[in-house]
Amino acid sequence: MIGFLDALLARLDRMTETGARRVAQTSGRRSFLAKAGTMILGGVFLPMLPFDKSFANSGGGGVATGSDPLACDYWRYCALDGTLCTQCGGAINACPPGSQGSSVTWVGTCRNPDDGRDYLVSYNDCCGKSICSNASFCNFNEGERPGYRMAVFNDINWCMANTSVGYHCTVAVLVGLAE
Amino acid sequence: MIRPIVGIALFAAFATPAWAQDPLPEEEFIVKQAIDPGPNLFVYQESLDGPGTIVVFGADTLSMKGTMTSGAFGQMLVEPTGKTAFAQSTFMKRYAYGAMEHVLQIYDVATLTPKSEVILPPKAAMALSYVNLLQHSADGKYVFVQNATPASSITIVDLSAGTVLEELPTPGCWGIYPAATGAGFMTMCGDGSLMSYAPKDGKFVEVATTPAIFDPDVDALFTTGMRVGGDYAFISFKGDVSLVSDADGVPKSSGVFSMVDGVEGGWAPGGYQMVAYSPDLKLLFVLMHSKSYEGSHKNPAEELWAVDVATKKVVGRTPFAGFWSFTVSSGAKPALFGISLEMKVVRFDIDVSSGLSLTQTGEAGLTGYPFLLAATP
Repeated sequence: MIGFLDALLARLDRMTETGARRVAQTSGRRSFLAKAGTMILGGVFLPMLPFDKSFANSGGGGVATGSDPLACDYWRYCALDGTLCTQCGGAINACPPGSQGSSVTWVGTCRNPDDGRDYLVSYNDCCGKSICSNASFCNFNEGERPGYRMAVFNDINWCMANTSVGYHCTVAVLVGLAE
Repeated sequence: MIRPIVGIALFAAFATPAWAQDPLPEEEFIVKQAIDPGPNLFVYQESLDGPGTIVVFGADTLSMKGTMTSGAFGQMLVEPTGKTAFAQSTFMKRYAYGAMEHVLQIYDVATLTPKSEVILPPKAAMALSYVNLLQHSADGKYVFVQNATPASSITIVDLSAGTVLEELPTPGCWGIYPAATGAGFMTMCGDGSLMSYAPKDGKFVEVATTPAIFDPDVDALFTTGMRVGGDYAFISFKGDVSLVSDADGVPKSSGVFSMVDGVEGGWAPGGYQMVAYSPDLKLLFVLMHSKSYEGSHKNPAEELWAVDVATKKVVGRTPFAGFWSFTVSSGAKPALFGISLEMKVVRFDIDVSSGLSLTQTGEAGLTGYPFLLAATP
């Protein structure tokens, strides 16, 4: 996992944000999250968005610890803000057909209640279609921070760097242990 | 014979009065030329895949006066007199795919019409609407647009020229906090510092950077900042009020105090536009929720707290359940407007004669994703 992180960090350094993140990248879960997020910005992709009335219907609030990928409180969604691709023809790690995976992403660090381990989760947005309002709009914010920590900011459309910037839905891809 | 007699009587009873009146006059089909006068409340109803709208309500009654139309993923700015409004947003040619433009629209509020627009570099942050992502300089010469590619920068628009002056790199920083006078501004950075910029020889240059005034890993600051005299007041996730002076263009901390020390219940700030300052009441208002936890910083409020910044005391608390954004109007008798989970904007009279109490005096329905609002004279 360290090699993966280093590779991602190296890739980030080649981007325009060199010097951007004067974040502490030392130790501990939180700083790991910042570090991992920083790198993933350069590498993969993802989105984020707000909530609507679904918040009042258990779409957000509390802590995500469930086991159903079709439900907002699935544990991997601990920092997800958006509509669930699992309800839109995609899967937990797959965008629906005809959409495009976001080229940048934000990350969360979520604890799997089954094994007690913390996992790094890449929240990739799926792009190029209108918002999948057929699905639940979920909003969890564990470890989420404002835009000065962009890699863990989920109030922005992570389709921003794609050719087609329309936001469709969000997946939650495991990219490794956060340990 | 009885039935015909009854029928004639009924006919006479109902038909005769109509004949006694003149017919309704013909009407002319028109377009109302201007909104009704009076103070206004503006709510930005963001869209994630189509046109968003600035909806204008009469601030006294919340009667709807009309709308101004933007694109998707937008931000709203209303200049203090309430005569001009701005929206920065994304226009996608095929709504969700293909070519797109980022546009700054400038509206005449009286007629609810766009009077000009500026095509921006295609880098504007497609974020939820937040106060400090679209701002203008105190001298009115420039509009500042927060960018994210996701690398952060700020597009500076010269309003008199109607063109983009420059794109200013602000790596690792977020939010735009204009100086009280002139054209400068600050931005908040991920290492806990604030950086200030001002124009020099036609370009914006860095003026100064504070030491870290907060630690995002320990207690992050919300990016919605409120001007309180010569300071900005920022609220932390755990309930501190952090004051930053920018009086001379050189930002520096002018003090930090806690709203929650010694308060039982795990109270913490939360929401989107979750803080407002009333210079008339000399009070800072903050949305608060109890039993806070990591990740509860966007939870809707349970209470509204009133804070006297001068004495660093919470001077009032009142129930305010379900609100995630709010603002306070100016004037001798300020009103408070909140956006609730029920997708309504609600008006309250404020009573601070003894602590804090609110009396609901109106409400109106909202649509889209409404997170940002502004009240003007």
